[in-house]
Formats: sequence, structure tokens, C-alpha cells
Amino acid sequence: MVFFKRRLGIIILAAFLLMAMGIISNKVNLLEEQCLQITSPFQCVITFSINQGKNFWNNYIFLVNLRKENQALIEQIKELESERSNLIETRLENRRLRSLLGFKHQTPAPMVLARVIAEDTSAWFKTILIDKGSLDGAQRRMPVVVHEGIVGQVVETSKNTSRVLLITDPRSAIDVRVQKSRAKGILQGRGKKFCQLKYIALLSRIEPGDKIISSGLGGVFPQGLLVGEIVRVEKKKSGLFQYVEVAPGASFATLEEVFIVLTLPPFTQDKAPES
Amino acid sequence: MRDFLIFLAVGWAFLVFRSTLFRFFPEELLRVEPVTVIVIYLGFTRTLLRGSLISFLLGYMTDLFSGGFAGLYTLVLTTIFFLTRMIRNRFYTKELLFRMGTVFLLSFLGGIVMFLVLMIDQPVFELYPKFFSYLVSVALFNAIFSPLILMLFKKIDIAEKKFAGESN
Repeated sequence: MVFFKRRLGIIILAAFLLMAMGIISNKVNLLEEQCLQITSPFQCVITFSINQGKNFWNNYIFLVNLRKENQALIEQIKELESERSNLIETRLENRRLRSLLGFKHQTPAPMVLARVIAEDTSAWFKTILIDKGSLDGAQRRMPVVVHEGIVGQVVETSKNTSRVLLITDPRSAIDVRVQKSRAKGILQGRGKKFCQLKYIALLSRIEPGDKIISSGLGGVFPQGLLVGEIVRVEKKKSGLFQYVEVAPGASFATLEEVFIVLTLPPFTQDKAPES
Repeated sequence: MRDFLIFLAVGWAFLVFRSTLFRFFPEELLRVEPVTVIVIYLGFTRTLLRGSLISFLLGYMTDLFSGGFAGLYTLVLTTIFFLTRMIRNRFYTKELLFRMGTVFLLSFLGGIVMFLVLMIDQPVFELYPKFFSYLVSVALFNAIFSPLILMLFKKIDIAEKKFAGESN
């Protein structure tokens, strides 16, 4: 029994050492790299098959209500056309104002499209695995976005895959602004579908429906990217701040493709290895 | 050796399915952690040394699939295995309901171990304000799904014994 207990002690000690190494190094080791190399093709195949099945269901079986849906879509197209023309006007006006103010034209950062191949297996963490890695230029701390808003940031890369920490993960915190009132706060994940916007003063005028954008101060996300929309505001009797809940713009439940913004934040660029 | 390979292969398959198929189910289902149930089964049926080594490897594999830091699940699952052994040695554990209860209790205790480890790195209550209610839901879902996994491994064990008998 003593012999077994001693061995068990060694195993638990090994687990501790492994954990300590993981905390200190923060890098993908050889074993992890190999495991990802072996596993990711299987995950790709399963995700691809499910998506194909979903497409089949949506494209063929759901055709029953096609006529009704068609009418609704025609209406929607008309609305969108008018909205689009307004947007073009606004963009042109914006461009004129920018040139008037002497702002330099900002070239868009290079981006690479990646497919979501797996989610986190733990109930406690919110991360996804995507099919682009260091060979495609992905590096740690690179922002990951979709057109609806910020998805998260790259936290681990192997040759062909990267792990992305979602903004809904409790370990994620982003420096943001409320677009309308310009109030600044920190958006923290809650492990659920909504995030919490912290440190918004009681006097700040915010309301549900206000858009949240990145402030650019956190050092990871460029300024002005859409993050989400306020869904709940609570002013408590005590305390200095309001309780604000934000629905992320990106829909994580249906996330299939994302963009990695291939630009590192300025202060990490010197340290980052060349890809 | 065959035992090692079977548990690691099935554990790996569970993790692959958990990370791909479960994405399309409601969020509440994502709280199931099948590998925890596998480790509890190991605690009920395997020797101390063999079971703890398989639990260690399953834990490490879970770490590779998860966005947490390496070694977290290795430690949690090895501890759960050890606790299962302690319960096995003191109580009658053949009843399915008792085993489901054990899965609930040990998933909860495993969560406490994780809580203590995470506390070293950062204040957990700031990250998870409803840590304990979330933990109860994880443990509950593990308990609800445990009969399926426990029965699957029982069947695998019977098939393995049959195969070993035939080859002898």
C-alpha cells in the first residue's frame, strides 16, 4: 500500500509540475503540437459533415415555406437597398470630413480567413480552435473578428491551427467605449452568452441598444471595431458604477468562419517571432 | 497495455465529439465533461496504479483539448480518481443510482480542486461570480449523462474479457 501511495504521490507531483510548466511557459509544446496535428483533421471532417447536413436541411427540407420567405426577402432587399444608399452617402460625407480634418487614409490591416473546427472541451473555458496557424501568419495576441464584431484573440498557435480566447470567456477583458456617449469601460466575459461592461459611472448616459466599440487602448484590438450592443442597464442604489450587460455582435453559436487580423499590437511587435 | 489503449482511444473520441458535435446543441449540454465520468469508472474498476496512470494521461489529453493551462485537468482528474478509490473502499458502489450520486459528488469536488488551483492564478469569484451554481450544474449534467458512459465502458470491459478468453 505504501508502495502504491508513493507512486500516486509521484503522479500528483508530476501533474503539479506539468501545471507549473504550463503557467510559466505559455507555449505549445511538442506533444501538444502533435496532438493537434493528429486531431484537427478529424475535427475538420466532423464539422464539415455537420455543416453539409445543416446545409442540406436548410436548402431542401425547409423549402416548404420558400414562397413566403421569398416575399419577405424581397421586402427586406428593398429596405436594405435604401439603407445601403444612406450608408454610401454617409461614407462619402465621412471621407470628405476626414480629408478636411487632415486625417490620413488608413489602409485596412491584412486579414486571413479561418474556419472554426472545434470548441473547448471544458465547461469552464470559452475558446475555439481554427484551421489557420503560424504557417498562415497567425500569432499570439492577434485579434479575431467577423463582420458583426470582435470574436476574441489568438492565445495559442501551432503550425496549422490556433486557439482563440472568445470575448465571452471570463478571462477575457477588453477596453471599450460606448459609441454614443463615449463612456469608457472594460468588457469582461461571463462564460455565458452576455458579457458585463464594467466601470461605467452612474452619471454616464447609456441605454439598451447603444453600440459598444473597442477603444484601442487595451493594446490588442484596433480602435473602433464593433464589439456588441447593450442589452441591460441597472443603476443600483449603492455603488459607484452601473451594472451593464452587453450582447456580443458576433453570434458564437453559429460561428463558422472568422478573420484573423494579421497585425500585432505595437508593443508586442518587437518581441514577436517572424512568421 | 490494451486497457491503456482502449481508455485513451475512447477518451480521445469523446473529446473530439465533445469539441465538434456538442457545438450544435444547446449551451446547457456543453457543461457535460465525459472524461470525468470515465475517470470515475476507472476508480470503480481498476487498480490504483493502472487507474491513476490512465487518469493522468486522460487528464493531460483533456488539457490539450482545452483552453485552460496545461496540467490543470491532469491534476483534477488524478485527484478525482483517488477520491473514487477512497469511496469504493468504504461503500457498496454497485447500484447505478449510487454511482450517479458519486459522479455528482466527485464532479463537484473536482470543481473545488479546480477552484483552489485557479485561485493561485487569479481571483476566481471575479471571473466566475456564480461559480458554485455553475459547478452544481456541471456536476448535475455529468451525473445525468453518467449511466450512458458507465454502461458503455461496462460493455467494453465485457467484450474485452471475452476477447481475452478467446485468444487464450
